[in-house]
Amino acid sequence: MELNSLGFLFFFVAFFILYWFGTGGRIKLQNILLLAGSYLFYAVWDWKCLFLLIASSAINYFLGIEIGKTENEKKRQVLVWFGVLYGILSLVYFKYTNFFITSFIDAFAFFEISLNIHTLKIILPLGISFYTFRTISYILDVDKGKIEPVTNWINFFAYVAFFPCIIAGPIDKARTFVPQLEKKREFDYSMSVNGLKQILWGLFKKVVVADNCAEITNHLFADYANLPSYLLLLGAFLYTVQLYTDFSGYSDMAIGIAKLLGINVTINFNYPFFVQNVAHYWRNWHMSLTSWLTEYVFTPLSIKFRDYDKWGIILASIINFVIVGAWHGANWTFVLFGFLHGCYFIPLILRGRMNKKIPKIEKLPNGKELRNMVATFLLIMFTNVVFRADSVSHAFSYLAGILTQHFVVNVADIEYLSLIKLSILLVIILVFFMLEWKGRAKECPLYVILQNRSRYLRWAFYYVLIVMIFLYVGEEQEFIYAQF
Amino acid sequence: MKKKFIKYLFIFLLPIMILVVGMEVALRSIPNDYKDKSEYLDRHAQNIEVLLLGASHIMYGINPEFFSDNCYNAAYVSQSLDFDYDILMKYDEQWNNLKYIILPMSYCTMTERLETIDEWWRIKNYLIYYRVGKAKSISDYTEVSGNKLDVNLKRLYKYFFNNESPVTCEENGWIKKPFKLNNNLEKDGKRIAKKHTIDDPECVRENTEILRNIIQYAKRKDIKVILVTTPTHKGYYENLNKSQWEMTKNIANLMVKDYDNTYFYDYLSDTSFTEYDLADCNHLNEYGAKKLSLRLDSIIHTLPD
Amino acid sequence: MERSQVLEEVNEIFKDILDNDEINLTDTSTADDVEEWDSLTHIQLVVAVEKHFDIRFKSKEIQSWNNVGEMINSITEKIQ
Repeated sequence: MELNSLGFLFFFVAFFILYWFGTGGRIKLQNILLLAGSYLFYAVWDWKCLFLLIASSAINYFLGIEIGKTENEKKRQVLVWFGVLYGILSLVYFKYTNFFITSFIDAFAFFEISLNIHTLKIILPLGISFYTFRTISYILDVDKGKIEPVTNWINFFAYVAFFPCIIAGPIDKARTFVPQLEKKREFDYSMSVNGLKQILWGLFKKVVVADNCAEITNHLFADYANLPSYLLLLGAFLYTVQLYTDFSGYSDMAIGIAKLLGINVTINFNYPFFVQNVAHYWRNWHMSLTSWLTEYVFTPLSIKFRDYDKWGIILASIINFVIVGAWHGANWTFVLFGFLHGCYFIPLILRGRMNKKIPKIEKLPNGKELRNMVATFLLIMFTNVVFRADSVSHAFSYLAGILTQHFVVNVADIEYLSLIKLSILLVIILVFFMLEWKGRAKECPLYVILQNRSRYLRWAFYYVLIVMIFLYVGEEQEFIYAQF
Repeated sequence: MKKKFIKYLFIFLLPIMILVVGMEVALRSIPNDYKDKSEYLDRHAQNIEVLLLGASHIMYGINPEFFSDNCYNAAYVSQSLDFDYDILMKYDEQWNNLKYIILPMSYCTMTERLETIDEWWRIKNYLIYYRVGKAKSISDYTEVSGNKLDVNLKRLYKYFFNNESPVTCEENGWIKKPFKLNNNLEKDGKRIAKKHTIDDPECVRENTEILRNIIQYAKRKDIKVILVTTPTHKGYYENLNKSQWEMTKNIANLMVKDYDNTYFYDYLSDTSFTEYDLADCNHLNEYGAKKLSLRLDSIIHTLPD
Repeated sequence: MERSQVLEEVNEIFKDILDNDEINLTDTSTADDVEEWDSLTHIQLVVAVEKHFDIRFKSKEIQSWNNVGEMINSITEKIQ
């Protein structure tokens, strides 16, 4: 059940009614329902791996309590390391075993030695990258005293399995999420309306923008060897838009759904293309992941390397971003992607630019600001080709193609590229970014657009969005982050 | 607060719900082949003596008009064995006069099921109009969710504004492919043969099971089952994967051996059918259909009782 | 050294590293209160503080600070 499927709609309507009308406002019932609903949701998708999810929740639950009770420093360390390693190792096992095996085989093959080992049949459990990060952050926070161990197991298990976020985040920290479960959720009219608006916007982004870009980029990336450089550039551009609208759209739906349940989930995207340098981009892209890695990887590393001045920070940065990259999947392209981003930080760190306050743009960017925005966008576009490619050689070939493939091609001959459809898509993308720019002060543009006008005008606008969603829905494109 | 929210949400969604329901009703009222066929079977199943089931090879390839018995063509595009079985079972109590069932034994019959190919969107038609079949997802139960919106809007426009009826089958269920000389038989043959070459042992196993069920059911009711491989062009049959075709023939022969009510006729490369009988590399036109139908009619009358 | 003196000197360090003369830290100030104070500048601040007071913190200590006040406590402990 993807969040944008009919099946989920039915599930959620029933859930919503039970949650607000069937629990009589009792906290315990609300949380039990959340937990049961989350497990039902997970089981429909992947019931075999439900046991793994429950086991992970149970292990971390008991560890949390033990760590809280233990005064002995050494014993604490052991327990913390056990929790962290359990999470990391299970994640590595499911996600990267075959990657390691294949890389191992390839490395030996390079020296003409053929190994007689085969990749294993390992299925990646749904959401493991996301819920594992939730549990690891919990263990580390308990150890550092940032949160008291959660004694109510229902609350903890519900935190780990929370269905709107289990497939693709945002990754909430226990210290901001669990306290909300410990209070009764009162129905809030404006919060719920905001939730609906965010879901609508997220659906629009995913169905109208992302899926349509995907239809084209899938072909362009497969057929790249036969395409002229400007089409390859188009592919890189569309894919960058696609990645953003797909992932942020899904996050919007998750956050909006949580709002309908009276729960505030952490923000995940904050208009990452309206920034002026790469550091700023990462502060606004997949924020729950970057803040997780910053807190639990970058900061400890930078403290360890602090004797090496700026080079220490650079090293910590590169390691941090290689992990960001590798987290996305078991392919050298993701590692390279991360490494490149780590390198992007080098000039920023050396010039000491990262602490310079960047003034907010009031109405429209001036020449210099626009140049910075475009330059940053291009840097991101370049690494996104690496991200999207099937292999490192595919990435290099594609990028080389942009520089070298200058032959002439009659676009009308390319059967998967309809000029009409492409033009409409580009117009939609333009209007989309204009709407985002207008609404950039708030978490969701729909909290700003037409807010001061009549309700009829607002509703008419929402109807337009809905019609567009209906027009493009169907022939579902696979959600990019679902296999993470 | 909750009431206010529900109230405004309901008012907001009302126009959409009305449009959606209205569209669903309108779409369902458009006449179509599936509706035609299922209504015919509802009314006349008890009179049918020869039942034609299967996919497009049978749908175009056999014309009930040339059968001396009461014959109906209940085949349709991409209709796989599981749907043939479901339709057969639906009218279980009405097959009072049924004596012969004709099924396809084409190169791709055993390796395909409707849900595995890119015609899967047709599943909703069986659920809605025939009321048989299993849904792949919730969106298979309605017309509105079964197709993209622009497709549905086009359908509504064509029927309600242009008065074009999308019904293509005759009253006896057969669909006519008018005679037209086709110069691409050779070229298309290679392409289509490749498209029909599928490696799916799981599917083959399941289809064999379903075929067996149909034959056993027929045997219980004293009905004969005729498996037919319809004629194709050289460009097609020369480009088939040998093992897939051998496997298919073996299954047919196995059924003939195991069940005395089953017969198999392989016209894949029968030379009495020429280019003038073929609409494309693997479908018969109206003349080819007449030829095949007359042949089958005389054959079934020579079968022992 | 008096605690308030330590706070003064730390405030000067922040102003210098973060290039902002309007910074005015209190015991309860956190990174949320100071715009330029983020993960990248955090370590520069720590290093500058260590250099200025000629002290050395343990990693665990640095990560345990929840606000400026706790940092000041760690500093005053070390310079006693």
